[in-house]
Amino acid sequence: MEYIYIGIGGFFGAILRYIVSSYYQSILHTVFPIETFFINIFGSFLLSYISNLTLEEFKVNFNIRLAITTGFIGAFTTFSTFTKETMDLLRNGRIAVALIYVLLSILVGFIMSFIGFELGDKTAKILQGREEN
Amino acid sequence: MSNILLVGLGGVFGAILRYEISRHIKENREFIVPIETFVINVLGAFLLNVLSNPKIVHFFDNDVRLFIMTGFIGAFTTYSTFSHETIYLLRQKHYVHAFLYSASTVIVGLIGAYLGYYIGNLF
Repeated sequence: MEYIYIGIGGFFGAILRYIVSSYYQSILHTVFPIETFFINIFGSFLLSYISNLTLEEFKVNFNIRLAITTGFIGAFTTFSTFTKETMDLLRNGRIAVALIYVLLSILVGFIMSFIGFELGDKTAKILQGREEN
Repeated sequence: MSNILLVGLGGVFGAILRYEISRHIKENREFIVPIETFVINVLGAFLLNVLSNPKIVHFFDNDVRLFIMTGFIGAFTTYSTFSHETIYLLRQKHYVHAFLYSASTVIVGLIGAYLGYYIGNLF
């Protein structure tokens, strides 16, 4: 049964990634693959925020949670494209850009995920406070 | 078929396969590092770089590329889970595991990507 939920999430996640990256590629012509960078760091934030928030305090239906986290956000972000773009940059002799792309994706991805966790904690506390009052 | 629908359909199968493989490995693993995401991302990096090699990619028309590369492999691999798991390990104070997990994902992922490209060149 959970396959249907994950499939639906994956359907929309992959489509949104395609739309966002096609749109940015049509208006920006940068060497740096900024569209994948933004997709991946924004997805990192969202996944940590939603996973952390819905873990204990704000319980949602198990299948809905899977559809959003594993399905939608999992399919929205992508690791394979990240490696392909890095390889393309290296092959084109853009070694500095490749290095910056890899380091920034990792570092900012981690920071965004960290902020997601922290905000998830904070939101959970606010929701808890409301229940008690 | 419309581009968007092809990408979405690829995404359905990519996300489900990721879930299935990840669940299977998770059930059997006895250590802290989330090796299931590592395996998925390295495998996907390898595959995408084989298929996107200019010597290979011209075998496929635009529909197949959107379905398999953008949809299926794009959704099969995941960046958000990688960041999320690393920060989760850090929050659990598994500093060494977090470092090993993130460093090995990036390094082995890029080696896998290079190998994929290299194999594509043999055709």
